[in-house]
Amino acid sequence: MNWLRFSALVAAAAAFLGIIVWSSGVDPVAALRSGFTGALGTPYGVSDTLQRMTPLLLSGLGVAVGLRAGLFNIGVEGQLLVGALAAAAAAILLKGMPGWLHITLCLAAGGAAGVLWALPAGLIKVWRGGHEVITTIMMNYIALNFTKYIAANPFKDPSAQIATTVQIPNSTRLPDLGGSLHINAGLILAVLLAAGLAWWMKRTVVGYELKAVGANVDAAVAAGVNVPRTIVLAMALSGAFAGLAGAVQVCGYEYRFYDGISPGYGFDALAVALIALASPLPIIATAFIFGALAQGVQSAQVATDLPKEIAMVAQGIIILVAAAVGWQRFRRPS
Amino acid sequence: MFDTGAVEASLRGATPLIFAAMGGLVCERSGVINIGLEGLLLWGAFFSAVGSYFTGNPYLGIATAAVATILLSGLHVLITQRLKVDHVVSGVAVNAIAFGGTAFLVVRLFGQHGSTPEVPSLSQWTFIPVALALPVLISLWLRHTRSGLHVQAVGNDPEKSAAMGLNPIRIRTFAILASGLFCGLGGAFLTLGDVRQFSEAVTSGRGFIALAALVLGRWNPIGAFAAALGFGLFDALQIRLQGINILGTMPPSEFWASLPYVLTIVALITLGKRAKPPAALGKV
Repeated sequence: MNWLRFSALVAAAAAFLGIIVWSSGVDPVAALRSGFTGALGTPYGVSDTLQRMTPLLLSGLGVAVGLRAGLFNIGVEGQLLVGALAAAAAAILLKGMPGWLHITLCLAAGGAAGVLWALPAGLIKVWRGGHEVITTIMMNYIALNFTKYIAANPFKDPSAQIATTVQIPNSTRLPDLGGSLHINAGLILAVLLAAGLAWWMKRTVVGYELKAVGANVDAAVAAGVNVPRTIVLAMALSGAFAGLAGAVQVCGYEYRFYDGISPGYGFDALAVALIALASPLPIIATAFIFGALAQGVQSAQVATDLPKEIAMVAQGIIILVAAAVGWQRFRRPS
Repeated sequence: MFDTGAVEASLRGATPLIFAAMGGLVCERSGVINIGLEGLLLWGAFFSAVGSYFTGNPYLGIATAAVATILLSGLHVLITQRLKVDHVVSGVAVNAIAFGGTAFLVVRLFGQHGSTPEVPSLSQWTFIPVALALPVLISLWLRHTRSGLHVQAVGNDPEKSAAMGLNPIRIRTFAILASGLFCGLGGAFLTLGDVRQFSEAVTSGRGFIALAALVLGRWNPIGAFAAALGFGLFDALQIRLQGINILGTMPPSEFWASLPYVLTIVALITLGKRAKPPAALGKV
């Protein structure tokens, strides 16, 4: 990457954002200061940033696994939703087992549901040549309707006005590791999985094959890689991360599933993964940045009159810069 | 269930899909994937409201939308053709800019979150005939004009086309900008011909459905048109289908809402490899 060009682009993007903020009648410096303090300046703020970061990290890893194999999993949002619902269902329905087993099963159910929702895209691509972007977008809409129906009917909390399940039992909740930052076990799990994924892609044959398919599919075929199997595996793994992101959201933070539980984590995850060039360890950083951005904008909105939509503008510009400078060498298999 | 009201409602539902699908079609036949259709449609819907509101003339609203979406699709040209970045990455960026930009500009220009006031509008019949004619025109253009054949040539083999003296980048630039224009018209229909105001949810995935219609129609204008009509028909019938008894149960509204997406996936499976995309689609 050309660092000079990169720095110039980032500076231009920051200046552009500053002008937008200033033009809406808000002092950019004051907004930046209150945003920074709100997201990173106090233990309370950092704690909120870390909470917002967790689903972005896990679903960002999901997007990244796909990207490294040359697949665009736009369906992370839907996989996250079914994962969250499956985890809540496992928490509510399963009974009479030790807590550690119960919570493991909840997370596993979430991951499995994500795999189930992602697999059609992989299989259709391999066997029928259908583009995964179309399949995963369709699966998103189906997931949205399906989870809404389940939360509004068989699993509905009878005392609630909205489509939500009852709260999950205490024994199925991921513990808060205490301290002033209230770091949740789900975040620790996510960071460990990022490290595990980085190791797996670098050090194992299958991980290497996955990257080979993404880098140059003809070369991968020539080297004897089973491309269809690798594509299906990458899609399944991608869905597993997305489903787990939903499960952690339920077991770690929300303690129930409800319609609208994800404000679009799966779509933000695209940005998180793209900016990190789909490398697992940098995704820890980009997920943190996006978590801080969301938290910071909320704080700045309270302190100044900053419109909250500025977060979406910032995100758009960040993706644009990342797309323009980072992805020139990226090639997908057809 | 089928009366003139249903036909009208289907056409109304199909019109934005036809515009966006035709935009996607021209773009993809030239070899460029465009998943930014959703963002372009939203961008067009918003700027048609801006133009119509501030000039008081809905036709200037359409013109504003067309200019704005052509400019935004210029971003897709820049990223895919000049910087040679992957087309889907670029489409994600276009969508992000459109979502963020419209959300922010609604607040800035109209002082309210999420939607505009009612704007001077037009009859839906200003747009529907254009949407019905467009697929036929594009079909004829692709097959019988020099420029149409050039678009197909670069979509199938840019290297060979270049060797024969064509300029793939220029032809693709034209095709991408055309997709912006058509999405602008589709977005203008949503705002000016249908709901009479802009709201953030006005497109609600129609650009993505148009993409599906394009694939289901096998990258053929008439096929994509038929698929878009099918989606429009289903959209119109959905409310009427609720409450219908099938084998002793009454499927919930969510079932009917999901059905078009399920059918799209089924169609993808059954069409299989016969759904042949342009040979060089997505190659940067």
